[in-house]
Amino acid sequence: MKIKLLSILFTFLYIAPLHAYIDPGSGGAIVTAILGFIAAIGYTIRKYFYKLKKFFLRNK
Amino acid sequence: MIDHRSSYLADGGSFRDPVGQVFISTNKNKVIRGLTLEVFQQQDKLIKESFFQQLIEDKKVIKTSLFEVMDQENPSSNWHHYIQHELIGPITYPYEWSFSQLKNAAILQLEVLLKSLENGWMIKDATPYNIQFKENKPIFIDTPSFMPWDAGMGWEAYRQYCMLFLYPMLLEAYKEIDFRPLLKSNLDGIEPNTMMKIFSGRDLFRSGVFSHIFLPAKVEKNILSNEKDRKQARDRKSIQHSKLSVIALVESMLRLVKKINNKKSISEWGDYDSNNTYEDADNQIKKNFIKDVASLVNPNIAWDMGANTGLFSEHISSLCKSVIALDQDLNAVDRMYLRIANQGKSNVTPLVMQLNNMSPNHGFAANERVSLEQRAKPDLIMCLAVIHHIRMTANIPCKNYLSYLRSLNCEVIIEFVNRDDEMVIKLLKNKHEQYLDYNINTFKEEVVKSFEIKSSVKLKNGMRELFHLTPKDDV
Repeated sequence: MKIKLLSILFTFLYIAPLHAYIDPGSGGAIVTAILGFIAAIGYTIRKYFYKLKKFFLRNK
Repeated sequence: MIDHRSSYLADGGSFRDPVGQVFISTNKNKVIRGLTLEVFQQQDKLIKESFFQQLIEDKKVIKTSLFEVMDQENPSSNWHHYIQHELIGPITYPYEWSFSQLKNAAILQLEVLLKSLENGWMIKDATPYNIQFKENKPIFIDTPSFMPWDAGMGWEAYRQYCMLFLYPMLLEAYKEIDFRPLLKSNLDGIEPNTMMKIFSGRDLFRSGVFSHIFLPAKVEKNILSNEKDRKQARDRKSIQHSKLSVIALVESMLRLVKKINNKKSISEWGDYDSNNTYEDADNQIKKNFIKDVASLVNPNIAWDMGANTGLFSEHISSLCKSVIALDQDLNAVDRMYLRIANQGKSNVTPLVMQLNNMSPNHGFAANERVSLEQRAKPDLIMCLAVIHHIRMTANIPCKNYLSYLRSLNCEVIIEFVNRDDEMVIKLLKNKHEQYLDYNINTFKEEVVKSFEIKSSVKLKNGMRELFHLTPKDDV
């Protein structure tokens, strides 16, 4: 019984510190890649939209 | 190890960056920064860039020049190359800023980053501690944060930007949650996971919530579950980013930040200037009294504790080098900041501060961020009509508050609000405790234990009394 309890306790002690080795902040690279890709599409569309708008306004 | 051989002291908050460290001369008239050779060479190159000079000219980046330190003056054997920064007013922290101060700092960070990216540079971090206010305009102070942009490099400080700029703004704008206690306790900012717990499903449709809270929190949650126990961490460092995508992301963040506004509801104090209980004649007597004391003291730094919208701070500002206007009312401070910032040059710095829980020394070794008195020790303190709140709202006995004021060892203007005053009557109306120790006689008895009363004047038919106190030497 004592050994069982000790092994359960040891398992918890063993697992808990391992979370300290995970760096969830490194996910920023994935997030910026996704958001950057979407933003770049919007950025390009906007750029051409303004160019077209300028072109038509000039020809008015 | 840092070796304080000369007249420079290392700044307690400047240890995170391995490539540089700030030193302040003991007479506080010089700020220099020790750098590694590599970063010093980068700074030399940066200073010669026209976009950087333009940022300095536009007062968006602090004036910086190369600095030579004599061997015997070198504050630390760790560094042999130095740059010098211009001096700016009192150092302030984001957990002391109003919403608009944080918003202006957040905009500046992105504007400087965009200019840098367009010219082949990057800013490696994104923390409001790298931004200060000069004449109430934000200014970027950490020039070694600039680094050359290498192909494939992403916006690595994106998460830090969210945690320290964007999330606090979203909390106040969308949820009306005061971000300051959170930023004060978590110097690295608010985690995406914490934000997820505060924001609900219907918030996902609000600008920025899905992309900058939900998505990062989801990705981080996946990493936590996929890489737990003995599983290997995946390589995310090698993800390549195009320059267009980095610029587009920063631009979209800038558009978002510019449109976030807090709901400026009329606060209890927000309309103090028009709603105060003074007659014009009494107001004039009060103004004359504080102006006379300020011209007598001629302070380098004055604190206005309980400044509300800063009416009296501005009244004495021409007689002081710098006035720090403190109030705990978020809206009152925000209005004060917007008004003063729009006026242009002003030496009044508005800050959000709880008078019964001022900014402490904290962070690493309790020295990373320091108390206001360590950053800007006052020569004059004004406590106008706040003592009744200190006693009856914050439950601090007058004796303790006077003892705190005495510990600051400076001249004091204090206004005592008598028990008969309508505002005190209102405060006491529903209180079981009636604070019988709060009366003018007990107050004066306590005052003379630590201060000498230099002058006084009665206001509102004796219901209020203004005192000029000077600290006694023998305490």
